[in-house]
Amino acid sequence: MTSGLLIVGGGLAAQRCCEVLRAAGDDRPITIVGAEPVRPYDRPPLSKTVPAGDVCFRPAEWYAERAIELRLGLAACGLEPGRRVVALADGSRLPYDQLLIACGATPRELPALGGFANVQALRTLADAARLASALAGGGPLAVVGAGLIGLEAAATAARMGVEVTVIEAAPRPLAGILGPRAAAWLTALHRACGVVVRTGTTVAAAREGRAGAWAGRAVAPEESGATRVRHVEALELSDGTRVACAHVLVGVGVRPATGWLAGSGLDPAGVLVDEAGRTALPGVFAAGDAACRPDPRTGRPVAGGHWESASREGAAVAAALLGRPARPAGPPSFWSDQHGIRLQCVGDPRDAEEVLAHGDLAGDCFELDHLRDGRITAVLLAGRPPSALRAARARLHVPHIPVRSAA
Amino acid sequence: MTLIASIDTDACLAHGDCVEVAPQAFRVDDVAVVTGETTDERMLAAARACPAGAILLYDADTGAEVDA
Repeated sequence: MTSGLLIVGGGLAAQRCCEVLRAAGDDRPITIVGAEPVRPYDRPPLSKTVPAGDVCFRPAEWYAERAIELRLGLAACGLEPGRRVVALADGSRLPYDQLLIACGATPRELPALGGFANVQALRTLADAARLASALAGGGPLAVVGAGLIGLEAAATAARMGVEVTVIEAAPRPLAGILGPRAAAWLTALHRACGVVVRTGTTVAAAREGRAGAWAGRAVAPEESGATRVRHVEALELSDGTRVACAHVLVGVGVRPATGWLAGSGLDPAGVLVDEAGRTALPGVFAAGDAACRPDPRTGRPVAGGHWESASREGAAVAAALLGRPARPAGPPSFWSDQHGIRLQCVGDPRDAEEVLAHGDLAGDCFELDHLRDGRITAVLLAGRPPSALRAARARLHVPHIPVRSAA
Repeated sequence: MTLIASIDTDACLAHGDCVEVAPQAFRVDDVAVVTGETTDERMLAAARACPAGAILLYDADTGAEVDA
C-alpha cells in the first residue's frame, strides 16, 4: 500500500497542489495536516473585509469526493526523512511517499508588546474574528507596521468609523516595495480617509492600563495565559509622542513556521527549494511562505512572498509530481485594496532608477512605470481597469531566468 | 449587448474571484475556465474583480473586445 502525498499545512499552496493534481486525474492518496482547526481558506479577505465571511476554498464534500483526507487542528512536530515519517503533535506518526511542506509563516512579534491581551497579529481566521470583535467595540486602533496587511486593516477599520493610527519605523509606508512617489500618494490616500500615518518612528514602550479595564471586551481573560490580564492603553513612540489605543494590531512581517524541521536536515529557518519546489531531501517539496528561494537581485535565499507566489509554487510542486514542466513563472505580482482603490503591481519595483507617471495621482487613477537600465522593470497601477494591467504586463521587461525541466 | 468571456490562461493565477462574483459563468480548476453565461453586469464585475486582469470580455454580436 502506498502512503501517497502528505501535505503539512492547509493554506493556499496546499490547496493549489491538490487542485492541480486532481484536475490532472492524479488519484494518489493525499493527506493534509493543518494546524488550524479549519479547512483550507483564502487569507487576503481577512484584512480587506470585516467580518471576513466564508473564505474556505472548497466545501468539505470537495475533499471527501476526491479522497483528500483533512487532519485539522493538528501541528507537525518532527520530520524523519530516513523513515519518511512526519510526527504530529498528538503523538501519531504519518508515513509519506512524497511530502509537501506548506506550513506557511508565523507573524513576527515585537518584544515591547509581548504578553498584552489587546495586542494581536492578523494571519489566521481566528485572528480576523478577534480583530472584528475588537473593532465592533470601537477604537482607537493602533496598527504597528505599514505593510500591506497593516494598511489594509487600517483602511477597513477606518471604513467602520474606527479611529486608526498607523506607526511605521521606515520613512514611508510599504518601504520595501514602493518608491517615494507612490508611497507619498498612498500616505495621502490614507490621511484623506482619516487614518493617522506616523512614519519614521517606532514603539519604544507600551503603557499598561488599569487591570481589568478592558476585561470582557474583545479578548477573554483566559486567552492571556496569565492570571492577571494585561492591557495596553497607549504606545509610547521613539519620537517622544504617545498614541492612545484600545486595541493594537502588529503587522511587522512573518517568518517561516518551519521550526519543527530542526534535526531533519532541512533548515528550520526556511526550506531552500529549486524552481519545482524540490528540497535537498528525496521526495520532499516545499512551497509558499515556508519555502526559500534565491532572490534574483542578490542570490541570497529569501522566504515567502505574496499570494501569487504561494499559488504558483503549490501548482509547480503538483506539476513536478505529475512529471510535467511547471508553467512559466511570469513576473512577480501583488494586489491590494485600500479605501476602495485597487492597487496592482507587476514586476519588481525595488531599485528603480527612474519612475515615469502616467495619469492622475491626485485622482487615484494612474500608472507608474519603474525603469532600470532604461527598461521597464515594474509597473504599479492604481484604480486602473483590467486591460491596463494586461498592457502593463506586456510592456514589462522580464529578465531571462533559465527554467530547469521539472521532469 | 451580450458579453462573453475568455480566460488568458497565461495570466490567470486561480485567485477564484470570478467564481465568487459569477459562479454560473466560471469555475477554477488548474486555472479558471468559462463554464456558462451570466448577465453583462456580473461579467463586468467578475472581470474587474480579477486581481490578475485575466478575464477578457467580448461583445457577442460584434466580436469586439470590451474593456471592463
